[in-house]
Amino acid sequence: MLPLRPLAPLLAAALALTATTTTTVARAQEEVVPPTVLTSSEPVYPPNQLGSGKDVLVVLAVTVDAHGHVANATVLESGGVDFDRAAINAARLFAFTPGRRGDRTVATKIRVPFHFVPKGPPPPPPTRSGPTATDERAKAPVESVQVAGSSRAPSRGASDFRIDSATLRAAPHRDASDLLSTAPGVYVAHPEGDAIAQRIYLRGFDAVHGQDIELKSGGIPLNQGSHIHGQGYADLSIVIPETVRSLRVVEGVYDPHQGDFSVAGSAEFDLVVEERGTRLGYKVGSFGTQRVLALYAPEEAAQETFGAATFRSTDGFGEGLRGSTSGTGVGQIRLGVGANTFLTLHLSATAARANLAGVLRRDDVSAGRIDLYDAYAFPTARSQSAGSTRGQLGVSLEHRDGDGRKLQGNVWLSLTGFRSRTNFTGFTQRSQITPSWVGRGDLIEQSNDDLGLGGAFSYRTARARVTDFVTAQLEVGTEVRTHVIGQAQNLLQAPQNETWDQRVDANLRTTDVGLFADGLLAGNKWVRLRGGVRADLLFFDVDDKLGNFLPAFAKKTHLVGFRRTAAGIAAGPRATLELHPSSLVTASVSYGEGFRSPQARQLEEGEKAPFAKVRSFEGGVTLHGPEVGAGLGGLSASLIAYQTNLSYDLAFDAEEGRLERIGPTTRRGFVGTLRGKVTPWLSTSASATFVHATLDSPPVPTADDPTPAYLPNQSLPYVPPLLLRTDTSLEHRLFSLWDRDVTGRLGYGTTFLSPRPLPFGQSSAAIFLLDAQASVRRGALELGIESTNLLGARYAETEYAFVSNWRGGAPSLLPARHLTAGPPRQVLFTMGLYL
Amino acid sequence: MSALPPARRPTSWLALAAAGALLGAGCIESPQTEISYEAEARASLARTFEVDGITVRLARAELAFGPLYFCAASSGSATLCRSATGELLDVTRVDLLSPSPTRLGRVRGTTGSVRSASYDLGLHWFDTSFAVEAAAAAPEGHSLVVVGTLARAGEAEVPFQLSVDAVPQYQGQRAVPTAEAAAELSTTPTRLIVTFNPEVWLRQIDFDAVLRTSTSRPIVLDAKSPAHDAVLVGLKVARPPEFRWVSSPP
Repeated sequence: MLPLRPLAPLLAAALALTATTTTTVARAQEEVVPPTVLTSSEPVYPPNQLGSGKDVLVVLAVTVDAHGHVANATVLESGGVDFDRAAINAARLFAFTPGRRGDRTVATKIRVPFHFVPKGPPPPPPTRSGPTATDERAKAPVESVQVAGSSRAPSRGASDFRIDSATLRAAPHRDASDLLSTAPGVYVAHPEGDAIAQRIYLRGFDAVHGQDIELKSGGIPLNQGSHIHGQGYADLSIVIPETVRSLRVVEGVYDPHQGDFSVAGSAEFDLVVEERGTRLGYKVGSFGTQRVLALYAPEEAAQETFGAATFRSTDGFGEGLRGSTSGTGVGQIRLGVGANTFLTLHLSATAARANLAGVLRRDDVSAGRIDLYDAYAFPTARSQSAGSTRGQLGVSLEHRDGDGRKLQGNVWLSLTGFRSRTNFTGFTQRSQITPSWVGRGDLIEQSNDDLGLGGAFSYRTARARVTDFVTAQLEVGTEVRTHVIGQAQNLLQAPQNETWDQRVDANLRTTDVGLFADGLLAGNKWVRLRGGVRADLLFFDVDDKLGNFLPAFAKKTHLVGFRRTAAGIAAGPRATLELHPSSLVTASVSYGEGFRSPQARQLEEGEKAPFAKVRSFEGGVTLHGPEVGAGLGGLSASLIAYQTNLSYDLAFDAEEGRLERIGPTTRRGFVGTLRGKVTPWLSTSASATFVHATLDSPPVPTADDPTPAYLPNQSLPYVPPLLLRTDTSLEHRLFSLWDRDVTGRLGYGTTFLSPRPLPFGQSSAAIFLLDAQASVRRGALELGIESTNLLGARYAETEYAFVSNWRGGAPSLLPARHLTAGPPRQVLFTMGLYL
Repeated sequence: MSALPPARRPTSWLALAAAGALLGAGCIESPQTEISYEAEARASLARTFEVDGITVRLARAELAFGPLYFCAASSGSATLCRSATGELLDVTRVDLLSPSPTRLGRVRGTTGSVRSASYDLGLHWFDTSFAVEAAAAAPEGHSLVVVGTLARAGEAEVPFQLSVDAVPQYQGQRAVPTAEAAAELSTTPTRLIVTFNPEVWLRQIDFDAVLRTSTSRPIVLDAKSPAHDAVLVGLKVARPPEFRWVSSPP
């Protein structure tokens, strides 16, 4: 056997040099620090090829996981079966310092050349372009470094918040929607139980179920336009919290990628499992609550590859009035399908059913006529429930080049079902079809079935140098979606749930074709202008089967039914100017115009679709503190001032159980944040959001609504003027037990909401909540305890003001305060197995 | 900021301090403010009066009044005024012969315009009722009961008993679905005075015909009697109750 030239150490040096060379570039483009070689292995020249004396180059794509281990190696340039196998065997013995994105280690894929040269006479120069230890080209293989994870979207100013896993995991969260509350200015409530989407408040907006915040998970949009229960309805139960590595919340509309419903902003869940392996989790505790989690993330695969499922059941607080059963399953695979090209397949489904306790009149609670956690005894109140399903399939393809070029596209399909039976008002409704029917209970049944198909494609150019000081980059793209929706709203008479009135019976077809251009002008390292324009065409086809309704007393002049189409285009610019006067300071100003599509059934024939237009302005300054450890980052503080004008807003109408228009609104406010690591083992995130939200021009009194709930310039209802939030986590090695470290983790989150204005001049009480958790882990076993509402506050999670009749007798026609009870203290014991 | 009994209010000093600071800074405008005020009934019914040469002498005249709703629209109909700007849910029996005002209760509502009223007169057909029901305060289950005597000049007195039922036309409607009322209410202390003019109502009756056609003693004028409808016309149309808001010292 011929001795081989010891190439491996030289290759390692080349890799290290490569990493060093590419660090700056990678940070600028993807903000990723590539891995560096710790130990290397010498490839063995295949014995059966020794006689050939060939000089062979094999290039491998080596996936280095977040721990620095070689997770996978595939052949990019083959040198023949024997040489390929020898190269792979050598690569598997390499060890690296893992790649980094910011303060996190990430899996990366790097290009590793192996040059097989038989010892003997000096080899001729390689005829192929692969680098060798002596090849200068090996010193600059920028393109050989690629991140296995999806690229990180560029910043859009001070309100582009990236919530890291430390913050997300600090406090206990019941579901993925609660993760949103870690973002500044966001409060998440579940006033309608476990099977109806969360209610989100964001920086002065009552986004309700999603009308003012665009929500995406794994690149798939979750908002449902023209949903019967609320415009932009988005149920986040499709997301399993343990599969969320980070959360991006953009508050404001400054990114051309933001589409429909990006009124207050947008949020996207980054589905990545960093800790690889198999994980089993079990929680049990208050109110008969149990939750099971099974998660599998193969070590050798990219971090985006995992499968997870969770089941949850609970009797709910309040003597079983809020029992629910739910389950979610997610499977996602990310594959390298060529040089710098990745294919991601995503499949997920969720289903939930819950009993609902509904609302209570505050005066009944205050007078002791009913307990806060109880429900009215009428069958119509005890028959409230909801069920929802969602299944979605997504395929995305992404190709990136080292010079900044990126081509990506995705296609998704979603199928959702929704059925709720809620009674907010007791006994006030009269049948429209048979007016003599009245007082049978306002149990409103809503159903919404939605089949959606959509996708997005975009291309980003390489960064081009325009002048000596200016570089430019442009991305153009399209985002399309089309939905077929069937929806109905009826009144039911409990307990048999006989239908006693029909309010809505409609089939809808909606299509959104969006185009955007997003550019970057970087003057130098101090100045950067990013922005562009977005335009969306929305088309609506409404088959309103109860349109042109004939009242019972009217002469029959036509058949009931009203079919109509409408379309419109919404367009607007978005831009952010960022200044970096020093490494410690970032300042930015942003402006953007966004939109919210209209509820299709409210459109008239040929109407130019009246989009809700939003204009956002903001300026902010962020101060970056020193790192507390290598690659760990440090504290950063920001102060932001903003204003948002919305052409028309929506608010919940209890009588109809849905959102109705209330006119244009204005919000002005400030946000202060302090986030980051105080020490390597202590992370904190604190924010204060103040907003002055006013209703500029509410609907005037009409015959149908002579006493509108809103007056000009009044404070916007339901929106907390002041919201404080903190998330703090501590994680540290405690001691060693049987030669294994025992790590302790403690985390908590606090939320304060100031009194919220309500319609008819009323205001709700302030709320202060504390959620906390503690756990210890030794090796594969983790035991813990978590509690939500640890202080046991009795509070109204959501308050409304409207007319109801829950008493019998002389009905009150005065708008009265109603509430849904916030969950009392809940304690869960948790166990996790990491295999 | 009210608590939820037996609630523990949010205990954090931070919460209270911030809430106080916020409210103190006037960050929550309240264009519509809750108000409540006293209501009283006044009647101007003489115990004796004369109609077309017939002397009417009254021994008892009682009216059931309520519930009462005020609306910001010009129609207080239940189908057009689904939320009220003021309401008095009590049903009160008013002695129309009493010279003293009768307390009706406390009206609860909001500041703003009042442009119409609607009310029941002791008989109601609420949304949740399957038939017309009489309030406990309704005299003998009627809206109005009048007892007295009738006498032509120089003739003996003839006792009569009038009972009037103001019945809602259909389920969920008030007996008087809309009536005139007008006010702009603010937080200035106020008082509601409801004035009844029952003599006008009774003058709608053709007492001469009553005396000529009635053989029973006492004369019973019930829902089958033309007098019943005549009084209803007087009560609802000719001289309905008047609503007047006057300033009242706190």
